[in-house]
Amino acid sequence: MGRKCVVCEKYLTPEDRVITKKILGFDTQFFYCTDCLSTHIDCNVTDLYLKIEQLKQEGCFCFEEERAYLLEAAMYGE
Amino acid sequence: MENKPFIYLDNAATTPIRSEALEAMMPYLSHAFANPSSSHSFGYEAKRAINNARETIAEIIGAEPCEVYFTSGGTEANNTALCIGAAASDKKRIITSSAEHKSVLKTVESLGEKGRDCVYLTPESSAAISIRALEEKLADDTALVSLMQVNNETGALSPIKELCAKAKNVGALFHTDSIQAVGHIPINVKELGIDMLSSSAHKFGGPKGVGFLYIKKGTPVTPLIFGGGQEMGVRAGTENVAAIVGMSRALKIATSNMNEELIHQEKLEKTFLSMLNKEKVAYTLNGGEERRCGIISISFEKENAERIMNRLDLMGIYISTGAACDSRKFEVSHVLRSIGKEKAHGTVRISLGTETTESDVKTAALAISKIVNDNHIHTHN
Repeated sequence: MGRKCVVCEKYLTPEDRVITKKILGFDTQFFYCTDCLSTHIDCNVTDLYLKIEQLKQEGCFCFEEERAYLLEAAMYGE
Repeated sequence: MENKPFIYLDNAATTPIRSEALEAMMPYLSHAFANPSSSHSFGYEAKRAINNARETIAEIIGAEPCEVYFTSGGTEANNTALCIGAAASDKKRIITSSAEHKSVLKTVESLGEKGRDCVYLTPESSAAISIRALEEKLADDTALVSLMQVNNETGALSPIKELCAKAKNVGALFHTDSIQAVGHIPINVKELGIDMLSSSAHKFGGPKGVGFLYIKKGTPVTPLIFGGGQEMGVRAGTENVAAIVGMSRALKIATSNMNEELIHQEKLEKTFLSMLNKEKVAYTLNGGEERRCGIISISFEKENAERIMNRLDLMGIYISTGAACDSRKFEVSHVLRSIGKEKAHGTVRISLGTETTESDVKTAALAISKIVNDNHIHTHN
């Protein structure tokens, strides 16, 4: 669960998953691609990409964790 | 940075520099650039600006000019005060609280590694320190007590005068981190009876990178920075003339407008909280009864502070959290942890300033209520 966007069903990137968690909360059950997330919360998509960039620059560990999660999920065909 | 409109509600982190302070600084950043230690009259002009600033600040806090030492900010002031306090006697014990700023906690920790007996008081649920908590830990071998006047995360006020009196009963030196207090509440160091007080300019409309440390006359001082004889031999290095002048100007204005500012911020706080109530947002206000106006620490049950902060950020509303994200877990701030806030994960700090308007707090309250009450946000429509 959580490999695809719940709206457009596009495969998610680690960035998509991190920003979803950062915006909707770490306990969210629903993941969005960044474009659909911006529609969902009614904000400018560029601002979301800037936020992703900021988090990366600050050394947020979440990207690595989400990358690992997605790899594992892909391997087991989840 | 893009010139987007925004609402700034993080004044406890830093305040915008006052235009008057900036104006006062400009000559020393341009044509009046001389080194205050130079013997010529050009240098003396800079020296005189520093002396005037020292006199202004001393008068505001009820000190003598020779008791005011300029530093690079609050962190340096705290570090210096604690090292001076520890070196002033052979006594072993240093008392502080677990709700202090890291610049105090880390210095105390370092002193502990050098053989000092470091004692950490547990704050009340508001983050204030009770007289009883200090009494229980005071002993004849107490060299120094260091407790903050206004907690930076909750705004809680500690009874510094009474705490200091208790410390004096055992002959200990008393230092207070007044970084969130100076320029916001009236301070008279003689009335408080304290030996040392730390302050930082950018918390009251001054520039960043400058602060001051009050050290009561007669306190044995040891320098942390060696070199020239600046700052009465306590802190070597060419003075940051412009920043010192800007700090003094900002403090003068902040203290002159203190009552109006208090009324302004009280009104804004009331508006903000009543808007949350009107929108039926469930929250807890932290900081207790005795709190510095303008620092609003609120906890939302079953919420995630980082989520709230990020959503507001995207709306151009800037606040702060008491918790920082560390991977999937949140690292709750040591202050909220130390006061045992179960709802710490959902705690945010909204701090008001001179430039905050009623419209700002109304917009912020509505935005917060939307985020907190928006149950569908977690679910797919």
